[in-house]
Amino acid sequence: MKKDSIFYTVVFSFIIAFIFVFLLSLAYGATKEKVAENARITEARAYLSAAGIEVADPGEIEAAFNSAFPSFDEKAPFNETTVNGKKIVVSPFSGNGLWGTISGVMAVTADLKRMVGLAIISHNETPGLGGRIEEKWFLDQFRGESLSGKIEVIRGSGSGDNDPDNGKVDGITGASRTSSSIEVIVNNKINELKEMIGGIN
Amino acid sequence: MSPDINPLVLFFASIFTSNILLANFLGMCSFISISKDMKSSNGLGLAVTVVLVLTSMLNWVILKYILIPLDLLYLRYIIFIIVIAATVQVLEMVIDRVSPALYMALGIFLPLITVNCAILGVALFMQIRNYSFIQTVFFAAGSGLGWWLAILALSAIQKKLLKAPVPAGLKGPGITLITIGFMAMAFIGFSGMLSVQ
Amino acid sequence: MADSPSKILKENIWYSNPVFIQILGICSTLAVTNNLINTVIMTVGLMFVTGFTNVTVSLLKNLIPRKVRMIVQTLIIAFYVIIVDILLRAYLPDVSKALGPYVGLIITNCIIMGRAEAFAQSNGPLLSFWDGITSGLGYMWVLMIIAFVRELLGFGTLFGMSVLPEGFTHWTIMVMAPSAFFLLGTFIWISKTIMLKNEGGRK
Repeated sequence: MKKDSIFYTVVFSFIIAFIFVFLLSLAYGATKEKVAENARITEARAYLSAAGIEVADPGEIEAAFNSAFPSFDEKAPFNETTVNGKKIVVSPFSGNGLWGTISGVMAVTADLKRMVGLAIISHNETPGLGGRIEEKWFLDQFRGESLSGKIEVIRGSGSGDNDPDNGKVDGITGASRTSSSIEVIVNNKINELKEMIGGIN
Repeated sequence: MSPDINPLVLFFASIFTSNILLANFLGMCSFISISKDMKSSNGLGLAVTVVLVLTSMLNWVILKYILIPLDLLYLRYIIFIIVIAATVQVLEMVIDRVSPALYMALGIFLPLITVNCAILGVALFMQIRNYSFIQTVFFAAGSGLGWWLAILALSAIQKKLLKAPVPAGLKGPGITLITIGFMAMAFIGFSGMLSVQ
Repeated sequence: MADSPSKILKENIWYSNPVFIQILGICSTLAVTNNLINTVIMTVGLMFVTGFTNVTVSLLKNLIPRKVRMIVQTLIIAFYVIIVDILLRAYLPDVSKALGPYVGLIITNCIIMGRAEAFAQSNGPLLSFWDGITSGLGYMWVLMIIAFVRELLGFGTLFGMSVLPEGFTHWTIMVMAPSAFFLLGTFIWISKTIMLKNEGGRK
């Protein structure tokens, strides 16, 4: 058979495409479970980290999550639990960043006086710039921050503002849009929680 | 669910503050080799913009109505790149038939475009960021124009550089990269502009 | 074209290094060079894809019809990139999240296509594999140096571990895009000067 005939070209393309797609679907099928599990772990870790619980071993995250949030209802707008003797409220949030949706988890004390912590589940910001919102130094600034006023993300030294009483955190240098997006998202969530929980109590 | 971002903001952000080339480094290969000549830079810029808008629309439709419903998302790289290659091929044939003059201007650049990372990059970004159709079109157009702007500016600077005394070791790609670095810095200056929505 | 393995190694690592001599394929990786871990993963991924694409192209070279050669090569590359992507998603989810779309962009890395066309088309599978791996290595060490400087000065860390004293002022510019261009430009300058000197010495 001639190698350059149309028939051969078409048959060859079909066969090779079929083989590749078949192999890929095998590989995909084999790892599907694992990927779903990873997604669950990422979410559980975000909740734990927002609540201020650090779990180093990925294998223990699900167990730690179940013990920290015994009656977790993922459909509820927020969940209450007790960590280290303090009642806290955790709630997922999402909002617009520069490039796409930023989603994460916020934990506040049940009396809404202090932020417990913030964690990011997913974002599409530029790696190394806006993408740094998921880094520990940035998120740690929110720990214990007073919620009496609006939280401001300011242009600071870029190394973090760890004073919990001033309601200010340092933004990310070079990513002012992402920093201001975070400010909007966080404050919206705080107001939402204040309305929801304030209404109940 | 697509993010609630004004397409116009996306359009300008992708031209200036997050220029596909200067901030995301996409489309460098052809950028460095072509940028020596203004006329070809112009042609390539136009070709990239046209192909970007066309392929991102096609890819969006395929993604939304074929890949996502059939749970074939993991095949997206193959599908995207084949769509791009096919579009370029068809475009080449159409231009050849319809306007030989345009073909003379664009024809030689079209094959280069298939391996231009900017095209695939935009397709992947629009998928990962979940853009709506309108957002995708604006983002693709902005990225294309941004790339065009960057290559035109670079070729103009290169022309001036011809007369400048550059150390022997730095000649060629070295000085080009450093020039691009300065351009990238200048473009960061635009980032204040877009906080006004 | 029957080059010895050690000659191929030398060519790919230095004399015709894909990055600073041929200026190929920087697009997909330069963006993640502000972090050493991401750079290592990306370049190892690239090495894997280049090596196996070369083998596959070399094995199939007599079967591939000329008309669809480019498309078939792209298909082969895309296949291996998806494998890398699936592996990362399953076993290194954090890295896969940080790299985002950049893993997919390995497909358009010109080095892979370039090596498949220039080497695998006319050589046996074993030698082609070696050529692919060494090209990947040549790519890796250059980008590692850039990532080293950027992460050290930009964050004061190496591989995520703090190495510089507390009081060190981070060079924000190193985190941002322009520094990658500056560093690569300087790198090319230095390597080219060394080469020019060597050539001058030989004459």
